[in-house]
Amino acid sequence: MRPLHGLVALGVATALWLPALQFVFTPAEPEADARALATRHLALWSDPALRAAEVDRMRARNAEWDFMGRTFLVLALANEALRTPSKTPDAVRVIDAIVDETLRLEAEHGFRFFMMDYAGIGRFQSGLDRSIFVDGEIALMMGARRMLAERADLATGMRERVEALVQSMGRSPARVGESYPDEGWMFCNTVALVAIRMLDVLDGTDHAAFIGQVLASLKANLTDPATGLLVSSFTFAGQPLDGPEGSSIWMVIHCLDALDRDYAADQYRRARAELGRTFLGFGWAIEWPASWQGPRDVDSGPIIPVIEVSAGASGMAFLGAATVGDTDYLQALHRTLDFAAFPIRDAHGLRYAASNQVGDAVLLYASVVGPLWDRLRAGGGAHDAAP
Amino acid sequence: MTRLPERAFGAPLLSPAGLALRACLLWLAFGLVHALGLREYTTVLSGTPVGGLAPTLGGVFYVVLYFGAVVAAPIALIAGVLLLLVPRRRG
Repeated sequence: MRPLHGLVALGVATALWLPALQFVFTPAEPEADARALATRHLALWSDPALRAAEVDRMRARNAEWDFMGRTFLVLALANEALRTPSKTPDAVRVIDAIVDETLRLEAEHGFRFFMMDYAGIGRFQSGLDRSIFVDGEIALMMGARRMLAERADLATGMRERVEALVQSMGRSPARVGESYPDEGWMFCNTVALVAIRMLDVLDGTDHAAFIGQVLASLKANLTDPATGLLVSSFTFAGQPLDGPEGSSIWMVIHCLDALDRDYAADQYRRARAELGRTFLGFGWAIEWPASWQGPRDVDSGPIIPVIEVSAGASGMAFLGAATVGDTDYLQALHRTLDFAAFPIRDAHGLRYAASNQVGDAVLLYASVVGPLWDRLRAGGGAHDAAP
Repeated sequence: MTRLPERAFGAPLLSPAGLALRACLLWLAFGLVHALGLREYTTVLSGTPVGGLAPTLGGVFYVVLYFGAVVAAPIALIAGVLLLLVPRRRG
């Protein structure tokens, strides 16, 4: 047997096997996986020891993830309840537990408890010692709860948070709020806008002009000229810091979808071209477009060289693809998830070993996304939305 | 009559028996690390490793063997089968 025969055989075998691999990893029942993910998250909120282990592991790396994991789970539960009203009582019970514990922790430790250490360095340029990262997501959680059923204390709390968001953003020359001192994130600003919009729907207030001003400012001042994508971070004065970022832009698109669908669709088309990748049926996302050389950071997670797969960006890409209904890309992402995220199914449900609670919560949210944003676009009050 | 394991271990790498042996070794090694529970430590891929250096290396080791078992081993086996199909010339 000549070595050349062996090498040719290896080449042919590679050409046969790699294209076939996608069929091995096409999820048979994505809906069942979503249910199992939900079961796991509900188990986390009924088993303090299980949750503590998960939260401690995330907080050791990034306290934000503990906080964001709560937000995504609340949004997922609210969507599930709006889609299947019989699930509302259970959803409300878990959402209340999440929101109440979040507010308790914030009251005990301050809002920086949910932020990275550098939140304590420098001062907020708005003059308000508040972060729109924390205020925005808490307001969003409160609003999602209220979309299912009214709760008076959360109504009051949400109004106060939204007022702080509007003040914080309104004081910036570029109409952007600070997530960290003199550092705003597009992710947080668009979440804040959705929270403001949610208050309008729930309480009948009208911030449409304000939201329009902010969106116009983002488009005019914080769009990356090379890609046409919104940048990921900027100063209080509206100077861009980082370019478009995969771990951020997909959530930004998701939020824009509740506010300006055409703009969201345009940003998705650009993000898909600049940051989305597919090969042999598998899909992933990269952290930075070719025109921007940015660093690997805590949000991107480790980046696999050559193909530049970012776990953070790829996880968030599920949300972008689900938001606009890009089923081809979504299926390609699902294949990669089954192939390379190491699913573990046990008595508590499903989790991905190569992920963490916030990552799994994003995947869960992406699998049920829709009804809550539909209510925001349709308008109407809480009582219209309540099942 | 030569026994199969002896033939396989003595076979050249790029031969049907040699490739089949490599595929089996990869599956065996992966089965071992899987049975040891190292899948848990692949969380290193999300930037949230469990524990210190040893679990992190365990997770990386698991990832390497997993891709070996899922990607490389089937290729080796298919290549081995293809080589069996190649007509052998005498002399």
